Amino acid sequence: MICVLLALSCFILYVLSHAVAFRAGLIRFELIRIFVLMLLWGIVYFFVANSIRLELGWKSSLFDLPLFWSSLLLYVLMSFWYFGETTAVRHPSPSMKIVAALSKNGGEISAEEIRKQFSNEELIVSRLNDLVAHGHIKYDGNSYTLLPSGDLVVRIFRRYRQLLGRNLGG
Amino acid sequence: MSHLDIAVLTSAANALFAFLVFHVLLMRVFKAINMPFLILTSIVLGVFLNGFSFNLVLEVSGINKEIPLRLSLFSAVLSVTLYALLVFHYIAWIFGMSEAAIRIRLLFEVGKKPHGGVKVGEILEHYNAATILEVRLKRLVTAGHIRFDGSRYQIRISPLLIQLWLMKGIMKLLGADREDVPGNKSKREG
Repeated sequence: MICVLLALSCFILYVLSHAVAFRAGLIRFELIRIFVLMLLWGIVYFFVANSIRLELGWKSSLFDLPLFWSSLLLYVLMSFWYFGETTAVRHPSPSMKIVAALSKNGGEISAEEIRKQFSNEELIVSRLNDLVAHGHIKYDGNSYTLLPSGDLVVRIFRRYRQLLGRNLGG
Repeated sequence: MSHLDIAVLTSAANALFAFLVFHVLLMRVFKAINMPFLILTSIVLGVFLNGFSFNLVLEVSGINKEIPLRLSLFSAVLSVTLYALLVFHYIAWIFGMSEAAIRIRLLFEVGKKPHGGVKVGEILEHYNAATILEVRLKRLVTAGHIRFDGSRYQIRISPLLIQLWLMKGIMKLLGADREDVPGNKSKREG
C-alpha cells in the first residue's frame, strides 16, 4: 500500500510542479519538457521507495516490494493521462468544442449557431498544413501528395478498421 | 517481482486482452447496435474477467492464505484501476484516433490518389466542416452526450461534459488562459 500512496503522491507532485513551472514560464505546453518532468518524478518514486525499503529493514530487492511494479504502472498511466489532457487542452476536438459551445450558452444551442463556429479553414486546411509540417504529406502549391510516413499511418489504420469491420472514421 | 504484483499485473493484462477481443468481436457481429454500448459491454466483461483472473492467480500461487483480506481487496481494486486506465489509453490513442481523428481521415483522402496530387477542393467536395459537424452531432446524440429536440441541442451530464470540466480545471490550475490555446490566438490578435 505504501508504494501505491507513493505513486499517487509522485503523480500529484508531477502535476503541481508542472503548474508551478507553467506559471513561472519555464514549461508551457512543450510535450518533451512535460515528458522529462514525468520521468524526473518517476526517478523520485524509485529513490523514495528504496529509502522506505531501507528504513523498514526490508532485506529483499527493491523490485520485490509488494505492489512496487503495479504502483509504478499506475504512476505511468496516470501521468500519460495528464500528458494527454495537456494536448486536449491545446487542441480541443470538434466534439469537445460542441459541448463547450453548449455549456457556454447555458446548455442549449441551435444547429445553426453551432454551424457558425466551424469552418473548412479551421477543420480541414489548418490540419492539412499540420500534416505537411509533420512530414506526412507534401504540398506542391497546387495539390497534396502522401509521403512514406503518412502512407504507413494509412496502412496501419486501414488494417485496424478492417479488423473492426468498420468504415472510415473522421 | 512480488507475487502480489504478478497477480495485479497479470489480471489487468488478461482483462485488457479480453476487452480487446470482446470489442472486436462485438463490433464485427453486432454492427447495427450503437458503438458506445458495445464498448461499455466489453469494458464490463473485462472487469469481471479481471476479478476472476486475480482470484485465480492468488489461489494458484497460494498467497491468498498468506495475505490479509484487506490487502487482497485493495490489490484487486488496484488491478481494476490499472485495467480501466489501460482501456482509457487504448480508446483515447488508438480507437478514438481511428474513429474520430480528422487528420487520419485527411491522410486517407490524400492517399486515394497515390501517384497524383489531391487538391483541397477535391477533398472538400465530400469531406468538409458540414459533414464533420453532422457526423459529430449524430455521434454525440447517439452516445447520449447531448439531446436534440428537433430544433435545439441540449447538453446532458456525460463523460464528455466531465472531460470539459477537467480541462477547465487544468487550465485554471496551470494559470493558463484562452490565449495559451493556439486556436484562440487569432481572436486575441484580431
